[in-house]
Amino acid sequence: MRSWATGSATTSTLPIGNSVDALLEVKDLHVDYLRDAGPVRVLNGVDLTVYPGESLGVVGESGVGKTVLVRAILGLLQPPWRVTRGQVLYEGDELLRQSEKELRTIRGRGIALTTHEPRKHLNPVSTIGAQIANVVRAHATVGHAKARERVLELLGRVGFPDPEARLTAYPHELSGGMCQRVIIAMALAHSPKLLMADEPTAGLDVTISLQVLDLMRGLVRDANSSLLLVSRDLGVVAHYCQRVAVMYQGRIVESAGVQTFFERATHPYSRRLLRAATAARDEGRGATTSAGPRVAAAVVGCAYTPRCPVRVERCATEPPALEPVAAGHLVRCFLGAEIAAGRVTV
Amino acid sequence: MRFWRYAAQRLAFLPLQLFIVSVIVFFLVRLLPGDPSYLLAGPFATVERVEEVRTRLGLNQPLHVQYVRYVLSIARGELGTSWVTSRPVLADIAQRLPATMELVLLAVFFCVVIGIPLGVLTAVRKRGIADRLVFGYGLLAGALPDFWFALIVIFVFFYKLGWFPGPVGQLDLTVSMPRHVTGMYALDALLTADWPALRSAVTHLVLPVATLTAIYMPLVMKNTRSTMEDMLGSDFVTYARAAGLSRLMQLRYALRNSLPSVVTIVGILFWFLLGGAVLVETVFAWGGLGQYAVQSVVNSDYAPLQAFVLLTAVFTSVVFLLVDLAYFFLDPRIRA
Repeated sequence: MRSWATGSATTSTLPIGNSVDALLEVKDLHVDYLRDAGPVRVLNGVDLTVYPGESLGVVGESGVGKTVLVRAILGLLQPPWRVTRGQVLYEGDELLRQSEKELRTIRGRGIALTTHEPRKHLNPVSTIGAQIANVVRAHATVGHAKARERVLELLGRVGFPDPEARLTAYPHELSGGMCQRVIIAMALAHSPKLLMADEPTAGLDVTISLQVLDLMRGLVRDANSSLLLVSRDLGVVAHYCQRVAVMYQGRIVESAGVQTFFERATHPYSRRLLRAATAARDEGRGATTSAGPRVAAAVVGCAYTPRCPVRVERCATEPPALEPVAAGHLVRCFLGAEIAAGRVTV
Repeated sequence: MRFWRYAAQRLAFLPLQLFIVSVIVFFLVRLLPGDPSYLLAGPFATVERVEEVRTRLGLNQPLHVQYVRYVLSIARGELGTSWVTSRPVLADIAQRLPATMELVLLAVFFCVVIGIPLGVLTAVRKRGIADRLVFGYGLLAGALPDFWFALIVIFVFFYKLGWFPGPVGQLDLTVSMPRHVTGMYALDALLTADWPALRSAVTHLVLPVATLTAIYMPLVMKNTRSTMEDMLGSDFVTYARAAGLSRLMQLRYALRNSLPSVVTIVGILFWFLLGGAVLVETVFAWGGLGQYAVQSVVNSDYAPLQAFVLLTAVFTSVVFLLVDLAYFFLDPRIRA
């Protein structure tokens, strides 16, 4: 019936741009979660590129492996998690082969991280002043007074009205939004070239979320850093990022500029996500979250096949590659070109 | 200021705890088989004689009357008289307590200084050689009765190797007691510079302390290991790592957060060791409180037995109170 779909799509051009320019390149990253019953594949070949100064949003339902992705990039995964294949290149250096000692010089200084559930990520028995000072001292030999000065400056920059008074506060004495600001202060302490923000607004009120995101964007811009924003919320990504990458079951299925994406999203899953976001917005809700399928055992073909309205035979047996349908617009779908050209409607 | 309010709250529970303990102690002791009147009156006593003894001891009164008399005498600071030693129980206890304390405190000390570092080490180097060895040892120690282990230790290190003195108490018979300061022989000998006594006291301490440490140290070690393991895998240590903090700093975060749990287990350790001392003291003829308690059970000697259990309960309550108070300083979340 759709014979054209099987014939084409032979040449697999490298989906990554000029690799010299890239700040961070993730290539074919595979991560397994080892259980007694056997490994579960959580990342199934993630390809991602972040260029200097840009902001990239990674969108996906909860459970697709977004948090695992950012942790794998920083080399933070520990058993039972295991990186089984792939590369993480930061300024051309392979991070996956680096020792803990070498990684330490990059963590917090080259690549910094903010997390969801910020309070759980702060040391509960230490004051925030001491914790931020520890981060300041992690990459700089500064005296006590100098570190304190820097902490006060950072707290001021992330919007604490009275930094001095907050130095001796413990995490449990701060609101979730305040904890997130503390995390942001730590992440930006060394003006990293890349800030990875993992669901920075999960669990925060809508107004607080926007404040936190605005703050983060402003600080990232001031420092001329790149931003990798991981979120379930397509609206957030649309508003705060220049490019979007859609993740589905451990793979990037589409990446494009924000404008292109919202006008010409091509992958059937992306389209579904967009429709859901629009519907949610019209109903007055903000998120695209759906109780999507949990990451299952390794799939042979395209993981979206069971839910896909336009699937063809080969979808179930053979994985499609992430291929360009236009400049800077990559889609992992056998029908990508057809859908983009409007010959197939999803 | 907040500390005193917190401390007062904790202290408020103490009287209630002690009341419950006193009730349990009193009635449990009376559930023991054996009638002290018969034992005291001797094997050839007439029925009238036994009845006379029973009346003298007040044992013919109803239980609740006996209980009230018991509580009133405690309130007066009297713990009764031992039927066996014919001395006030308080004097007996005061004489024997230091010996037990010396044993328990030293065992706690070694359990802590060996158990905590081992626990940290095995948590950091999971599945390393040390972890495997220690795991096997932990299993073994958990399964060994302490008195049996004490016998083995005596057999090997006294009988076979002759490295340490036999189970004859706290000092060699030929060594005179050091001048009384605290009642703990090794400490008194040290304070009074009585070197022969110190030597003798220390060599006698080695085997019983080693026995208690070997059996009870895994409690501290296993708890430290599992707490440290949780803390090392916690979000805040992961984040510290993500922020580029050194391994040492990550360990500090984890260790600092493990402290409340470790302090709790040390409190429980005191309690375990008091129980352990009862049997180990008997094996080593230590002459401490534990041995006194065992003798009291054997002789149906109610007063010292009640006093021992009560003392243990008070001691344990005080230790747990101290643990609670330590929490105040160790965990800022308690202070809120």
